[in-house]
Amino acid sequence: MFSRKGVILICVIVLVALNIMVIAFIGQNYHPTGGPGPVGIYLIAPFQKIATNIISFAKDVWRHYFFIAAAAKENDLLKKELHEALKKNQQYIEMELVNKRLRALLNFKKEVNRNVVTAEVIGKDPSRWYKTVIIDKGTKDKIVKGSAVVAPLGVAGQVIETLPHYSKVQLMTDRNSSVDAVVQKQGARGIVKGDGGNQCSFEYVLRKHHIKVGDVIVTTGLDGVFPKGQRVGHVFGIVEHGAGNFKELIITPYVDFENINELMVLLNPIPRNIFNSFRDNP
Amino acid sequence: MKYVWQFGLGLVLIVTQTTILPYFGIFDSIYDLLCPLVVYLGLFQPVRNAVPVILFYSFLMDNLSGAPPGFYLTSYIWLLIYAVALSRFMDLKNKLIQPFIVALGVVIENCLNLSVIMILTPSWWFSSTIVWQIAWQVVWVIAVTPFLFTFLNRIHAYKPSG
Repeated sequence: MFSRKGVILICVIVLVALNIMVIAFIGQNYHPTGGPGPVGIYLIAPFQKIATNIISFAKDVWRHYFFIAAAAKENDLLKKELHEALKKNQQYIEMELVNKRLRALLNFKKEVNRNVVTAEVIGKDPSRWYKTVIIDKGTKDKIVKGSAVVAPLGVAGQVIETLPHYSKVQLMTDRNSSVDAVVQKQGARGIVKGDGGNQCSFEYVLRKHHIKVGDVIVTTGLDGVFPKGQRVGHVFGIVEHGAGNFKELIITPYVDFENINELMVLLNPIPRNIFNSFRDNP
Repeated sequence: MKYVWQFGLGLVLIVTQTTILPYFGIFDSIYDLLCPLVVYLGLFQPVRNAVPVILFYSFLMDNLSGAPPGFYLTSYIWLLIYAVALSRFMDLKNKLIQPFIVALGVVIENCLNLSVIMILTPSWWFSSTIVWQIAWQVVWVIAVTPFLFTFLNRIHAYKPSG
């Protein structure tokens, strides 16, 4: 009925389909626990670190020696801005003191002080369809699997694998990433999921909320990973599905994931009792 | 000696892809740099020589990437099978056709990747952006492969004196 070539072709197609399904199944159920961990990172990361240092050195040389003139102008401008900032800072210090007094009056619970480790990004994901990075800090710096990772502008991701001197971070834009978040103004809760590109989607938002483009999304702290109130991104677009209770928001993250060189890892995870108190009093 | 070259070249390409190229926006749509190497090994090297090198590459890539574990292992094996199968019934001396063979390999790898993503993310579907990204990868690979293959041919033709 079939020629020999036809049978081989059908066999190959079936095997490829099976292979894809098995890989997808592993991808869904894989949770690295114990074992030697990603040993390959041991081999590659030192070279990545050297390459990063060389590039950083070259960039520094470029910046310092070829842009001195531009820097002088910028310096004058920054000095002016610094004076303004100092004035504002003084006002903020006053406001903080007032805030502390009012919090004490209202008997607010103290927010947990979380230690932070600054890490350098030494490598990015070799596949363009996934968004992970390798950082130059690991368990020796008290980083644990599941630690929250932030950048100065907002949430960056989560540590998914650790080695003594290196860790793998899943960025917020990765398809497998999800962050519990809320629209700051309206209080509409949902889950921020990566789209594998430079944006995220904010899913499971109830239709009743009137959300506008530009609204700010912050973390709820209810996922037990990120502290409450960390900036995630702003609403870029709204997708109303025909029927159903939910709508979807397209979010532009505050962090520029294409140009991240340094990240901050929050060391002590949110303790369970604090997590519960946040849940009880969001 | 050839193994040292192949392992070394693989390491250099991985570091280039993960650390150096991300600094340059122009390489944003670059393909998996190891893909042409795998296809080359399948086309021009005996399978028993190619397999250990490919296992080494896939092990490193699976460790570094956020892709499901084993993805690179299986996709490189499929690429090897593809290249070996082609080498059986095609005239590989024709240098014009080589970049297109590698380009098809890159497309195959992308298709495997997207199929896995499609299963893992049911709401996800193809968009024109993805087609453009793959098209750019094909353009890149066609442009770079002749140089890479010339370099690899020289490495394999090199015989140390003495």
